[in-house]
Amino acid sequence: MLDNIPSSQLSRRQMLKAGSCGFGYLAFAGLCQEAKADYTSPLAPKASHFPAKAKRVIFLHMRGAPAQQDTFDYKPVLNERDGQVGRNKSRKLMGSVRKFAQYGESGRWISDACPHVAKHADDLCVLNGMHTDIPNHPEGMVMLHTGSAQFVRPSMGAWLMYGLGTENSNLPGFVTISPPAINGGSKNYGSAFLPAVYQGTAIGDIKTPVKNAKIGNLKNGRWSKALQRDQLDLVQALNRDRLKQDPVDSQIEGVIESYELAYRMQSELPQVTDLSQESKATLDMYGINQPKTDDFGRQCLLARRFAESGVRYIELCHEFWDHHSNLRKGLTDKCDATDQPIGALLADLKQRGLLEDTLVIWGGEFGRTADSPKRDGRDHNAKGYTMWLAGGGVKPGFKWGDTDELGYEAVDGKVHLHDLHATMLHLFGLDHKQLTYRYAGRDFRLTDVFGNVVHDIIA
Amino acid sequence: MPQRFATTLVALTVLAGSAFAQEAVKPTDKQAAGIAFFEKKIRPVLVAKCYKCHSKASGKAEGGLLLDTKVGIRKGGDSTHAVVPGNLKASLLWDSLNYTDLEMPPDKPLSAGVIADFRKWIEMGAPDPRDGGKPVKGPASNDLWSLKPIFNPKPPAVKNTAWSHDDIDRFVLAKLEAAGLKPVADADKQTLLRRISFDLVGLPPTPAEIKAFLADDSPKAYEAAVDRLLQSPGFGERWGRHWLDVVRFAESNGKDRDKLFPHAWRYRRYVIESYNADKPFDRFITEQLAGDLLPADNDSHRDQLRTATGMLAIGPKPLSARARLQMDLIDDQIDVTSRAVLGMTAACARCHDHKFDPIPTHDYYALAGIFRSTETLYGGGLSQKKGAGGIAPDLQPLGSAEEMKTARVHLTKLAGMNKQLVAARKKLTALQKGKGKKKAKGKKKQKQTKPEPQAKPDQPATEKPADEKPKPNPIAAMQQQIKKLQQQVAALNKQAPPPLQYAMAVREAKKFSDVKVHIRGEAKKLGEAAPRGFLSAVKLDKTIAVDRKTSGRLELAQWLTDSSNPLTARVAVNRIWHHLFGRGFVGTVDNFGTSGEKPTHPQLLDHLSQRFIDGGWSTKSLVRTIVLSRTYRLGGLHDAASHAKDPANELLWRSSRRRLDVEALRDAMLAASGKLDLAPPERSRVAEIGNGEVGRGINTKPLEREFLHRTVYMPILRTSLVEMLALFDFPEPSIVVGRRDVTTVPTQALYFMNSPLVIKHAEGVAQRAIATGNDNAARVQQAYQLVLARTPNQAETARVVAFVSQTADKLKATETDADKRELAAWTACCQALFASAEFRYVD
Repeated sequence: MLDNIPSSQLSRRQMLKAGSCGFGYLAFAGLCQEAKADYTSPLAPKASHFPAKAKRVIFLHMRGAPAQQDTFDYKPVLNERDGQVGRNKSRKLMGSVRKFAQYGESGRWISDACPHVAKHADDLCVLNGMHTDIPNHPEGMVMLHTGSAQFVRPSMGAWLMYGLGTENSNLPGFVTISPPAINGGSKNYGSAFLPAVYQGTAIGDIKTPVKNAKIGNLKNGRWSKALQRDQLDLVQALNRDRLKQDPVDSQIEGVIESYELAYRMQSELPQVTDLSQESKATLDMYGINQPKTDDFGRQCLLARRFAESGVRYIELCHEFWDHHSNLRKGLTDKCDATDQPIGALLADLKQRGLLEDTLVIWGGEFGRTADSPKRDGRDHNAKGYTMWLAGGGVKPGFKWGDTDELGYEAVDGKVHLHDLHATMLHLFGLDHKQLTYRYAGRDFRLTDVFGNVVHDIIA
Repeated sequence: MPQRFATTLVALTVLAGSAFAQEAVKPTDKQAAGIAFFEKKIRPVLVAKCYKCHSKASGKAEGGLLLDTKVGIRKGGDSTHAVVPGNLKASLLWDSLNYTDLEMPPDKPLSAGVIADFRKWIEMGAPDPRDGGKPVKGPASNDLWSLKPIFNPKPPAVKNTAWSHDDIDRFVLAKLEAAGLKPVADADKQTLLRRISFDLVGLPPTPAEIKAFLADDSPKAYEAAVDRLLQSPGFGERWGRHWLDVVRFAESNGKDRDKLFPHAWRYRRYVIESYNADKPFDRFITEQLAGDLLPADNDSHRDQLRTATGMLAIGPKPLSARARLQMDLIDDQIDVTSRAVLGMTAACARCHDHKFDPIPTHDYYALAGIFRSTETLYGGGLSQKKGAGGIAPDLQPLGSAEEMKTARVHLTKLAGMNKQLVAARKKLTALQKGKGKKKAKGKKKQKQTKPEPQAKPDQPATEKPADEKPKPNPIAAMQQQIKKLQQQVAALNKQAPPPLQYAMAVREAKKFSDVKVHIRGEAKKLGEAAPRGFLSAVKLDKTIAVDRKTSGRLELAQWLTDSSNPLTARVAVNRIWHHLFGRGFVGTVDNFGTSGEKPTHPQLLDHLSQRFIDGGWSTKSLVRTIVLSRTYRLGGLHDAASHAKDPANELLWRSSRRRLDVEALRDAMLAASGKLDLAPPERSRVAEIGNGEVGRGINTKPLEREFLHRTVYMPILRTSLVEMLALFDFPEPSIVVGRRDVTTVPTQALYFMNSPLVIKHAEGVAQRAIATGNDNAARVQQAYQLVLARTPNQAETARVVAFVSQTADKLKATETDADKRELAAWTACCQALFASAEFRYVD
């Protein structure tokens, strides 16, 4: 009955009417007419502060901090001085373990560890001057996701949900695929003091291949679809009895609505996560069913399907980029596992016209050092690193910021993590200074008292 | 920003302003010379070098500092006075010019000559003719309603004199009458019994309780039910949980490293027992802050008092940031103490004076001194330290002195033997090495042998099979010795005393000291010392000062619970009202400051606060008084006229429908199916796991095993909440949450529709319904009573019976067994009752 109309275009009342099969609806509607205090779902779409360029975000979270010198930050001087002593006498400089070349019309320097992403050089907006506060994984990761390493704060996905609501009420608006349980765990997709409804829905966890991930309570192991509908009709009949006693009670209306949405979610969510509907060509493009790329390929394809269905915030995760040693092999393995899926995701979003309003973000909690006490490894560096963006209203084929010639720290076009958060909200039409929530007597923001929108990278 | 800044200046400015006004009435010659010096030497420098960032004209007040007025320069910014006349040392401006602490001006220091002029100027008393700085109005303490003393207002006169049962009702009715509203009719008995049962013990009434209550026509029936519930151990489980929300209780650290707290459950047990014993609230607070400093009757009492201080130890800490750990830990302790007890957000004053409330940074560090003079025993950081005699040094051991001694003696003996064992093994390795060397001549490197693992105190050492035949040689002798030692260790372990029990707690630090104000919250920028003390804006009718030879925690507790403290009783009473009516008089239950809400019934709040204090701070008495009031017993009827005037029911013309919280939801399902185990668990599932960190290879088996105790006893891991808790608005356990969110979202609906747990308990209810016999009406009645705690009417019965028979019919296609079909159909029906809004709310 709803198949031909996108649910996001239906009004709440239309949905109630259609969703409850019209059972007793007329009497119900009559009662509701006098309802004054109207129920509005906290997830209902909300207007942005100003026109948005991005509608959704896909964050490719590379846990462990990838080495920028071997991926997206070309350092010829560092390469020349390979093996020499740099700023620190006990350490030796380490040139890139990969070969860089220029790609695309933009001539972006990208290493040969990322040949697939390199094909999209002209879509990328590379931020070579990133910096953050703490070069330590647990705090760095929490900082990346919540803007604060020190206090328990809402995650950026929760802020977006709070600011904008959800486009597709049949699906969670904020999903995180394969999240790690450590380094803050659920805090990285939590809502902290924001209402709990804005927290992310986890799909699987990092220890489980996403192929085997399950979403809680979507399937009923006991009742057939028909029996469940009968049962739901009984539930709604009971609920309407309550509503008759108090026709202005928005809470009961909210419960009634939530069951109808849940009923639809049951069929829509498994559909979205069912990759068997994709062609072999698509699966191959993402590297699915290839041992190295299968897991992240599935994550990326899921991300595209969620993006298509109007999910607001989608996070993926690939971990173990922490190459203190064994960088050559380690980095190559990580890139081999993620490069093709990411390239496919960018291509796929583009061919479906989704890239222009989907903000893709790639990066880890910080970056890595130019020098090392031992060969073939890099340590933590929060002073200068690289993230890249694509789509969603950022300048394509663009590079912003630089580290010094050896790559110790960002020196030009510096973008602090708070600035990235502010810019992300800006692309969604939200002023990071206005998007506040009152808690414990004061207004909180994702960017706390920091953050500047980086207008230079906005198209 | 300018507006906000204006409010920060406040009280100090007022004080300073008046003092200086008196000083500068008529300039003497000396003063005139001073002012001339200022005009010639000082003002030009201020204008040229400082006003850019510190003046009204520039619109900037960096660091909260304005240097363009006399008031501003003397008051200083966020940290301390910029200029104290005649006192170079106390003048932060002087330090800053000399680049000793702050570095000002930031681009480059002033010349030595100019700096010398400033020295002269400050030493001569900093004469300053600029009086353009009008004192700015800010949060003066006498403006804030919650800081005024509690007054005991007389109950107001009401027109309808017959309605009230208690003074509470007179206060409520007077407001209703003034607004032209009338209270609706009282709730019916079944509604009332369900309401009072959930409110007092968090459980639905049983069918037997419903029957007895309906059968009792005496006027005291309700009172008797209330008293029965107040005596139930469920009271502590319900009300203890309310307190655990406020003190951010959890069994793991959360934050960046989610280390388990396997001993935290003892604090939970303490809280529940305290509510069951109706421990006076002032005493309850005192024990949690300073239980270790109170006299104890005996060993177990002392353990209990020490466990109480767990409140200060269970907070989240930045375990991977050692440099910040101590001050962040103190911040958490200040936050929980000030918000849970006082409803004041004192932690806002860590980096600057409070933006809205009269809490200067100085007060924050006065409190910080108390907690820095306290040692927090939370189990230590990421690496497990070993203490003398094997007793954990970062926890509070429990038990009698004798038990502790026995344990210590045992552990010391064991440690000694283990040491010998290690030495013997080393010797053996050396001997074998020597032999090996002889055998394999020319071989340069020997593979390093791993040191033998130590025998653990709680498990007997395993023997290594000796594969060589014993020969009368040194190696064999050593092996023999090792074997003997191993046997001794095993024997000792057999007689081991029971393992030591621990609690998370605090105790006095080895040193007591004040903390210097951290300018902008930064540990490296220190201002003046803040002598240990309390919030200066909260005035008592007596003076309580910190004994300098202690941390000051006991005095803090005395100060908090003094009967003239205007906040503590009000905040506590407001929390109780919130839990009984769904909304406190002050909606922002954790914030009684300027940015919090104002009370809807200020007089009633004060009346009850005074009654609370006069009644010996008894929570049970106050709860009893409130639930016996007529206001509490109102029905939930809709009234169009009243609704039009007061849609949010702030004036209490009826009872507001409330959502059951997750504990009540789960407990009610388990109770209805007959599966709920009302006995508290012996300890906690987290204690079964022991030490470890979430997500880093802990044994999760204890968490996966079926749990049938009440929800309050479920494990609370900060980064990994139990699914149902996470879905149904369980409060974030890292922060103070006195008022939970109430969300209604599809994921909750999915839980009721599909969760195997819901279906399982629905089946339990179905079985109990079927067990009543073959009469369908009786079955429906049983299911309704178990799930909804009421009797269904005829139409409802007919509807359910029709659903069951239709469902059973439809199941014929897939299920041949008639009994199974019947059970399935009733299960589907009982699940629908669980899913109904009526079950999920309390009327």
